[in-house]
Order: sequence, then C-alpha cells, then structure tokens
Amino acid sequence: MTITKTNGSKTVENKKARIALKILTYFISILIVFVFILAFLPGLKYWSWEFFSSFPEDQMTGGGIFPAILGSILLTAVSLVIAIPLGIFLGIVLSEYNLSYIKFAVTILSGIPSVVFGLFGLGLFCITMNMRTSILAGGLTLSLMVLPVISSSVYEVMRSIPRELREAAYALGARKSEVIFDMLVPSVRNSIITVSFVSAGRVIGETAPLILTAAVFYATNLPKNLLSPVMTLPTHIYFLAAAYGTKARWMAEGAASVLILFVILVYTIAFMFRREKK
Amino acid sequence: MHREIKDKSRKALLAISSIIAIAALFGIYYYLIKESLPAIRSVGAELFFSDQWYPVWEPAEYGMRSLIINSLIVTVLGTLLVVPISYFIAIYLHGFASKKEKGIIRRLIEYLSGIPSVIIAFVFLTYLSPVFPNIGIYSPQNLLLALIGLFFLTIPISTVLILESLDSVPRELEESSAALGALPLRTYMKITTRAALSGVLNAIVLTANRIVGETIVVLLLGGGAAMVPAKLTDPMKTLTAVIASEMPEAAQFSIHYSALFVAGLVLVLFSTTFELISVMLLRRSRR
Repeated sequence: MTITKTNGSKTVENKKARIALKILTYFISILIVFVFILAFLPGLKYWSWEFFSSFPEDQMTGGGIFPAILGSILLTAVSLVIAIPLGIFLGIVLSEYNLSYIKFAVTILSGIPSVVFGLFGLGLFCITMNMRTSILAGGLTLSLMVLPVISSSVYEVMRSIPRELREAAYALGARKSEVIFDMLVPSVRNSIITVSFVSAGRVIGETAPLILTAAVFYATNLPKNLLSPVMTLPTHIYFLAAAYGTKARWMAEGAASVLILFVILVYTIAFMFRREKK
Repeated sequence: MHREIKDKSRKALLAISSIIAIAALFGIYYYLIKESLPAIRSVGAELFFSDQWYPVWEPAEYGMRSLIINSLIVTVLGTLLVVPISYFIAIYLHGFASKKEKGIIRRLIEYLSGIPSVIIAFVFLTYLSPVFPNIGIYSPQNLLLALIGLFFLTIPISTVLILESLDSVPRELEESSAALGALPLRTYMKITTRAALSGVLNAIVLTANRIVGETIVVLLLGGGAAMVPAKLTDPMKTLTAVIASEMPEAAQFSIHYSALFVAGLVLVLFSTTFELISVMLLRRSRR
C-alpha cells in the first residue's frame, strides 16, 4: 500500500520534471529563433538590385553594399583555397600516422581566440611581410584560424572508417599512401565536403581578425589585386553599428540579412552532403 | 616508377602540411612573445598590477589588471549562465524528447550555432540596449548586455557538446538504473551525468574558452570602460575588446602596440590552459 502510494507521487513528480524541462527547452529555442528573426527580417525590405550592386553613398544613408559582398566572397575564397587542402592533409596525418604531438599542437591552436590570430596576422603578414591591410593578409590569417577546425573534423571523419577497410586494402598489397588517397579519402568524400562548407560558414562571419588585417570601413574602388584592402559584410555591420548610429541602421540591417543568407546557404549545402551519406 | 613518384609526392604533401601546423603554433607563441617584449621591458610589472589603462594619454599608462579581471568576470559569469540551462535542455533532448522532436531541435540549434557573433551583437545593440536608459540604467551598454549576447552566442554549442556526451553513455547503464526503480530524471541526472562527467566538464571548459576569446559581442555590448564593474549594469572592457578596438589606431612598434600584444599573450595563456584541461578530461573519459 505504501509502495504504490510513493510510486504514485513519484510518477507525478517525474511528470512535473518532464514538463518543466520541456517548457525550458521550448522557451529557450523560441527565444533563439526570435533573435534570429530580429536579425534576418528587418533587412529583407532593403533588398533590391541597387542594394546588391552599388557602393554606399551619402554617409552610409544611401546606395548599397556591393563592395562588402564582393570582399566577403573574395576573402572566403582565398582563405579556403589555402586552408581546405592543408586541413585535409593535416587531418589525414592526425588519423593515419600516430603523431601525438601534432594532434596536441592542433588542439591548442583550435582554442586560440580569433582576435589573437588577427594580432599575429597583423604583425607577421601586414607589417613584417609588408602585405599591409589586404585580402591576402586577411585570407592567410583566416586560413590559419580555420586550419585546426578543418583538420580535427577530417580527423574525426577518418577515424570513423572501419579498420577492416584499411586491412583489406593492405592485404591486396597497397602502399600506405595508396590506401589513404585511393581508398579512405574517396570513401568519406561527402563528409569532407560537409567539413569544407561548415568551415566556409565559420570564415564568412568572422569579424575581429579582419578588422586587424584586411578590412577598411570604406573603399572607394573595388580591389585591384590580392594586396588591396576590402570591405566585408561582417566588418561593415560592425563599423556601422559601432560608429554610425541610427542613420545608417538600415544598411546594417540589410547587410546582416545578406550575411545570414550566406551562412544559411553554406550550412544547408553542408548538411545536404551529410544526409546523403546516410 | 610512376607508383614510386606518386607515393613520394603524396607523403611530401602530408609532411609539409604537418610542418605548417607545428610552425603555426610555435610561430604564434614566438611572435606574440617577441612583440610583447618591448612593453614588458619598458613598463614592467605595472602591466599586470595596475588598473590604469590610458595608452593615449601623456604620460601613457599601460596597466591591464582590470582588463584581465574583466575577461575573467565575463568568462565565469557567462559560463555560469549558459551551462546550467544548456545542461537541462540537453537532459530533456537526451531522455524525454521524442526522436523527431530531438532531431528538429538539434538541427535548429546546429543552424543557429553558425550565426556570426557580429549579428548577435548588432541585434542586441539595436533592440535591447536602447531600453536600458528607460528603466533607470545609466549605461546603455554594460556587463549585463554583454552577458545576454554571450548567452545567445554560446548556448547552441554548449548544448550540443553536453548532449553528445550524454548520448555516448551506454544504454544498459540507464536501463539497469531504471530496473532498480529510479525514475528517468533521477537516472539521467545521477547515473548518466556521472558516467558522462568528463564529457560534460569538457563542454564547460570549451564554452568558457569560447567566451574568453569572444571579441565583437563584448566590444559592442560591453560599454568599453577599462575598469572593473561594481555591478552588473556597469560598462566594462575585456582584453579581446581592447585589442580589436585599439590596434587599428596604435602606431606600429610603439609601446601601445607592444602592450596590445601582451594582452594577446595573456589571452593565449588562458586559452592554452583551457585546452590543456580539455585534453586531460578527454583522456580520462576514454579510459
């Protein structure tokens, strides 16, 4: 009798806990979605051909954000062209060769704040190597920053390959490099594509290192070569929010919605490849 | 012969990329220390023991103690705010949510973890910051606002990390706990959490590391006063914010320039400590 009684009250307690947790989860999820909507929707009404294709005008009260869009694409491209191949090779080394000190180095690197990569890039690339504030300096800095992210994800992917696959290849007389490049890498191609796109999403929204190495607030010309400074979407939003106040708020809202669109696009492509794998 | 060349060149590629990674790590440390030396030599211990940060005054003062303390305050408070909530969300998703519900919320969280910090900072600066003066808070940007921004920035990653470590606990353990009469919530909080403890602690450490290195949210929402806040609604500035806001104006190779590298060096020491703790925790969880 007493047992059923306690059991009864315990079940009620459990139900209460479950409901409380459910409310918390949904409350926070809805809050996050609300913040997302506040960031995305207000900017949509400024989308027009002019907004995407022209330069900012009249103290940021008119015109568009074409140079910032172009700059973001250029910087992302430069940094990924360097970081993706390097990151994949490094990830392979981490998983296929037992070099614990390199794994350690990558883990430590992955925790270093992005603004410190910016400091490093400013000192080494912009000043010591005389690249000044430029696409190349910013791209190199960003590629160093995502290198550990890409390589540790590739490491995880490679580790998930069953050992039998490697053994089968070795049994057929393949060399280690052949096992890696002809057998293992093709078998996880989709996952590696996912990793690449996730890192693109990471790079495109990065702000702090670019303030130090690549971005200017206002460029009157489009970049001529890799040694020109650029405007980018995230730094443009930052500068507008930090220094321009309400008159330029519309442009920051517009740029924010464009940046979010880019991030969503990149992540959707990334997750598409992950789903195909299953 | 062709096979030989292919083999050699592929191995060379792998070797070069590992050398670059190692060089980058040592390069960053070497470079930060090298550029920090002028400030350490000319300012000395005052760098770390004085609260007076007036780099552009005459005579300039470079005491970053308050900046260091602010970075720590933000990290501790931010982590304390985010971790318990993300832990309970992770418990719900792990144990109570239906499979479909879990999938949808997880996907949502993964998407939102990609939202750039500058956008989160912009939203709170535009919509929440102007409210503060109306409710009697004198500084529209302050520690509280920065913490709210950091909460939204880090809750996705913190939740996913904790959820992954809870999900990795063997199902049998939970079943035997249930068989002994423990109710689900008790099982998840006592048994599963204890089994996944290293993973959960690792999630906390990585969240703290994310917060200590976050720049734009703290810079735009923190208010920018180089002093230790006495209450939540005071403005403040952290090491990361100082670097990003002052470096573009600091004269090359000046003491100010060098002092900002010292700030970077302190940040790297924090993040390296966090990563070392994380490596140790993961090693323990694998055992």
